[in-house]
Amino acid sequence: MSQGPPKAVEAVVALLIPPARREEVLGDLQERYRGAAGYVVDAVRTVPHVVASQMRRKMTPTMVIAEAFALYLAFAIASPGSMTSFFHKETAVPCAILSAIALVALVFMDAYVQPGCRTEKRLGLQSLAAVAIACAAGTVIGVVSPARALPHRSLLVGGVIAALLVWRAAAGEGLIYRRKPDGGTRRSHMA
Amino acid sequence: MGKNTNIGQFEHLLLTAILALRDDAYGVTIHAKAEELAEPKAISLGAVYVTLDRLEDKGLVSSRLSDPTPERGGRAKRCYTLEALGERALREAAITARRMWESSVEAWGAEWEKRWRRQWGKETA
Repeated sequence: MSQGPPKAVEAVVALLIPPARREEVLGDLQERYRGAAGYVVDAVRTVPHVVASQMRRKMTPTMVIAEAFALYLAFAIASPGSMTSFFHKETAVPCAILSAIALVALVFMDAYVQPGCRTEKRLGLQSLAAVAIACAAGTVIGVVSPARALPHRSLLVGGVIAALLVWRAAAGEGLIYRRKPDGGTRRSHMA
Repeated sequence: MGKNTNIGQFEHLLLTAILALRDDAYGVTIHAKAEELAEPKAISLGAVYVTLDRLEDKGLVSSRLSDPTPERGGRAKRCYTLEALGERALREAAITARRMWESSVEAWGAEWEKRWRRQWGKETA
């Protein structure tokens, strides 16, 4: 009987690996299996690299710029005195922090999209989740450092606008840019 | 202008490993071969995946999923093949490495070269 990693450990590792790379990475880790502890160490050393690589592959400069712009615009519009202080430090810093957090969340979630499963509903949920993470972080920042945070109302309004803008942009409706299907990876499956 | 075939040392190492492994080049074997070539340096499997992805994006290698095997828990391997551009990059890197070697020999002298050749002889024996 061939020995393999404990099912529970393997299931957790499988969950952490982006679906596009899951098959081969899990197989490689199993082939290198020498014991449960070794398997965990191997996975801890390998999975972050795989996730980072997948994030890089799915990310295009156009996509990042468009999403960053959409996020900043949404939060800036919703911030107090937006029209007069669009690029003022009091507005710019909190908006930039929120946009950066949402952007990282978006790119991270994008790495976990199953090839061929980029539906509009999923993109909507992804945008909503990324903005929700940014708003939650914004609330925490508000408690720790009020000077670097937006008021709750601005967070909420900005969050809704940001989610909608990013969703429409990501869905490739031509509002800002058109996204490559499945992030444009060049992999093939042997029949 | 032609395609960019500039590669770094680690990319050079992995391309050489893929070339040596021929039809059996996938994550685990490429990692093992690269470790053998880079000895005594240790190489992480994660770094191998990242670099293979980059090489594939550059068009130097291509990949395909093989049939699942039981020793891998019924999972497929991602097999890598050197593309024409990759072979060209490898050739150019080898020529550069040779020039660097010759330049080092010129600077450090024939005695140093003899000592290294003896050392290599021991390693390959």
